[in-house]
Amino acid sequence: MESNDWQARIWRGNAAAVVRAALPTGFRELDRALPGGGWPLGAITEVLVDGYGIGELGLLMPALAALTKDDPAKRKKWVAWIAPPFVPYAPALQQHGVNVDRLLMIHPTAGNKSRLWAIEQAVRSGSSVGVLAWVASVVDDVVLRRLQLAAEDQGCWVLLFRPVSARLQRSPAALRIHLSQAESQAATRVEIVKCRGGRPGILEVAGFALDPAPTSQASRQ
Amino acid sequence: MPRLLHSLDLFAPTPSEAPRVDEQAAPRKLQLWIAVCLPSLAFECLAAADAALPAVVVEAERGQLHVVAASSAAAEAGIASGTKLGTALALAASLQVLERSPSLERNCLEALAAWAETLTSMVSVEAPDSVLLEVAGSLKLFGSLDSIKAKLQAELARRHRDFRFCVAPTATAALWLARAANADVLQWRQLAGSLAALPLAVTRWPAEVQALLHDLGLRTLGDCARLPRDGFARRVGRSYLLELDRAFGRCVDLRAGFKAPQAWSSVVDLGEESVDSEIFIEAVEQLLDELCAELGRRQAEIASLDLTFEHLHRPPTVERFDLREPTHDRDRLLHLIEDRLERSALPVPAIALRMESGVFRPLEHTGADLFEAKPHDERAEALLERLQERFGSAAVYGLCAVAEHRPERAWAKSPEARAQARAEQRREQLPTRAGMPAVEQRREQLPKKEARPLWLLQKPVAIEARKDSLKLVSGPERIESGWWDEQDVARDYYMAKNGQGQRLWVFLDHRTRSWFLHGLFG
Repeated sequence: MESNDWQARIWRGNAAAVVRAALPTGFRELDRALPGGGWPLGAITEVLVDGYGIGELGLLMPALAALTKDDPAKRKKWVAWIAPPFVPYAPALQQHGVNVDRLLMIHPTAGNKSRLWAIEQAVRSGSSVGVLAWVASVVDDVVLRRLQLAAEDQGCWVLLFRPVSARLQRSPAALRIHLSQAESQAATRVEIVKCRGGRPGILEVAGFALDPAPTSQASRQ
Repeated sequence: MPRLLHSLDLFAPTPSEAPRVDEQAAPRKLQLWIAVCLPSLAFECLAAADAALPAVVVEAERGQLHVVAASSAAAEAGIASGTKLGTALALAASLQVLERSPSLERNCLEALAAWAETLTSMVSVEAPDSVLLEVAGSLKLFGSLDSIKAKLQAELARRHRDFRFCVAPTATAALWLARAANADVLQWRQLAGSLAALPLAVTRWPAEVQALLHDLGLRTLGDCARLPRDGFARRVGRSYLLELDRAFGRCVDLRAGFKAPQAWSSVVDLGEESVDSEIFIEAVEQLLDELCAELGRRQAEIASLDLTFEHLHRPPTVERFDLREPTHDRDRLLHLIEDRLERSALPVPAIALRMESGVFRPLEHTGADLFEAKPHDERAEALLERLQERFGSAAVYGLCAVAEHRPERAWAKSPEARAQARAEQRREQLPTRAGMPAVEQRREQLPKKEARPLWLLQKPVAIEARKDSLKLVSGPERIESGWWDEQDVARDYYMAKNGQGQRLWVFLDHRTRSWFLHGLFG
């Protein structure tokens, strides 16, 4: 009796983090590691990655497919891609179940400033349900904080792709993950660097790299 | 309606000359015309240099300058309309003489007529100094004739116009009664009596016609109306008889409707030269207020806007705003202009700001759905517009997949993402019967089992030198296509992996026997 009472009085940090909403990632291991069971909506997620072609987009595909799915009950909103380094290939996106009609490509003029301006506009407008942006390693903390607030207001999924060198910088992002190549060929190593309401950790997410079929199935779950 | 008195037939009847009047065809539905007369318009539309000094507006008539309008100070000196300029100068030594400007008067009248379209759809400009409004159809909307008159009065006072107006069942009668500053006539049976008492001068018929009538001993309209029609038509003129008939409501009184110009422009004088964007924004806000009020009145929207900065001793700088979508939203226009002003610096200070709208388009109303609130997505439009305004229209686009074997042609930019979104919306708004399967609108797709990379390079990059560091994982997939448009390809695609663990999409070109990188499995 006494011990139960004592346990009930312990304040646990986990409960303090209010997770507003989450978007299932489509990967069981990752969902389990993230609070709320998915990508945090209404917050910034930072993806720290050097180089492309290690499954950094594949990791997002089930979530993107779910976001762009036509839902007659909801208003249609964009998923904005700001300054993607290459051409997002529409046939491949379709293979992953993404509705390419809802994607909006934005190529700001050179410079981080105009990119961040575009991100903020896209988030604030309330017409984007998701924003994927590729930014430089050095980003003003104040700007990030403002973005975070805007994302909270709009319930928007904001993903910032930054070089790994940005890892040492402070960031108000709710989730920071570091992606790298896993030992096995068809997997990506995901290191959770920071996670609001969760714990840092390392896991390998498999099944989306070379063969798109499993992911498209995951998205339909 | 009083019948004509055919009492005395002095002249032999010539039926062809006098228009026959069918008494039965008199208008059944009562029209109510308001005639607004601006007797001092000639004076008001020219700004006198010094209000305290007497001033007159003159016009040349038969080689002599006559006073058309006089200020109150000049009137006190004994100058009236019609006075010769020489006489006027003798009466008041410090007289300011202004030349009459018919175009300015016309502009003033048209501005008033454009405003009057808020009261009724039937407005007619009666040069040189009157505007006619038919308001019977607006009575229900505004409640009563008095409230319409009150609005009219307030607007005329706001424009600092000396005015007289009068209501009558016919346009000509209203005009004549207003010129005589007569009381309103609201019923048919009062019309003839009221008109009969008016002096002939209100008709503004040519002087010789008026002199002729005067010599015949006719002083009022009633005197004319009592004459036999045939004789009047022959001796005075058929057109004057017709005009009388119109005034008395014996025949239809048609007026040309006024159509306000389908564009708008205005200027704000900054007072002094400036480069301060805050001052500009203030001026822009003022202009936008005017513009949007105008758009609201006209139930219109615009698709383009020119903002012109006037400089001293230099041609003006014009900033053009082409909108993706017609709008009448003040804030949206303001955001666009603010964005532009933030980024562009003026070469030299500006002295005035001019705003010119593009052609007005009728406002498109979107019906609200009772069960599924799906209003047109203004916010998405505004986002696209701001982005395109800053980065250019080519920098913002949508994606679509194309049924094509050549990888670089299997996707396309869809700049009309907006049009597409709208079309989709329309399609959805079409009523669909419950239970019926929705028509699949997907584009035709090639059956694709083969993996495609999520990242595609704009152009394949030659990698022959590094070919050995690549490990081919799977493949080949032969793509040979396009012989018909002379951009044919013959390639073997492989999935490969390089030393850094990047998964690449490479191909061997059969023509050149060289290797290219074409995509990344992101």
